[in-house]
Amino acid sequence: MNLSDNKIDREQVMRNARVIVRLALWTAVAAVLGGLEQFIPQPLPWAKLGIANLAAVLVLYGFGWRAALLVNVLRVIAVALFLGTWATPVFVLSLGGAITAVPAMAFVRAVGKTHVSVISVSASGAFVHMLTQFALASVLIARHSGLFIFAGPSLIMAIISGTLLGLIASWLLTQLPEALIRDV
Amino acid sequence: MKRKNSFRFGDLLVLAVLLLLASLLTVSSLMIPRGAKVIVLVDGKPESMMPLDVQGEVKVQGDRGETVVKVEDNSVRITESACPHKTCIRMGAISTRGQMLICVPNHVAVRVEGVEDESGIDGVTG
Repeated sequence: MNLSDNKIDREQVMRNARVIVRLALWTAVAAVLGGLEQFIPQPLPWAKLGIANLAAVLVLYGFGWRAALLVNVLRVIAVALFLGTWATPVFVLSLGGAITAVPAMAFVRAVGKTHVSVISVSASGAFVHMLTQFALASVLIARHSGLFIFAGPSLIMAIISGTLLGLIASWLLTQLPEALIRDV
Repeated sequence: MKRKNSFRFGDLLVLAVLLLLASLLTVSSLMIPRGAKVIVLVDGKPESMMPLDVQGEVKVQGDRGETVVKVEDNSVRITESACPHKTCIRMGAISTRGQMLICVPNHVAVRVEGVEDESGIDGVTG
């Protein structure tokens, strides 16, 4: 980056800095939410709420899919580091889900345009996240037909929790200060 | 500035499609025939049981010593046995219902069963 006296360059640097600060903030929020989630009792092994995805949804709306992908990947790494699941199958599952959820959400948002709200985006993110985890689990952990018995119910759970988190996200998008959720 | 992100009509469509996919997967997963299981018998009595579709290994104590039974790639075989001729190891891997591996000197037998036939009866005619 050229830090000359050129006014345009300086504005560009400032804009980048503002985006970086916000993404760092959202990554921290996502990591804390993802970490807290581990302490919520799970009724089924794969029935997770996916609260951490909330941050990715908000970032997707404010800063685009690349930023959301970055936040999601950094969040998974951060959570794995402080929970000690780094480089285990659990980490691979989380990372896979976090990576595929973002393009899926971006796709729904782009195709749906004004016809869909953040609720659809969040629900489809949760759905694809869960689907990816099952696909990876079937390859990495067990080629066990019993695994697929859980897939359907877990996906339905994911849609429900994704919808609820979408409602929260839609509320947050109207309540949070503009500066936090947008590049302004 | 008022920002609107609340529920829209298209959401119903998206949620319906997702729920449809999930329920299709649920229904189809119920139709997959469930994997068979492996029963290891010592002196004719069931000693150990494991699913045929999950990799695993079990060691049982027979008349002369230890027999190692290994489940891999939807088939089962005896990999180690404390018997003189190792005929049971040479029998190789079995995978279909009703097949057996028998180690006579060590009094160990391995049988593949379907999940449904709990009774051990292969079939009833007449």
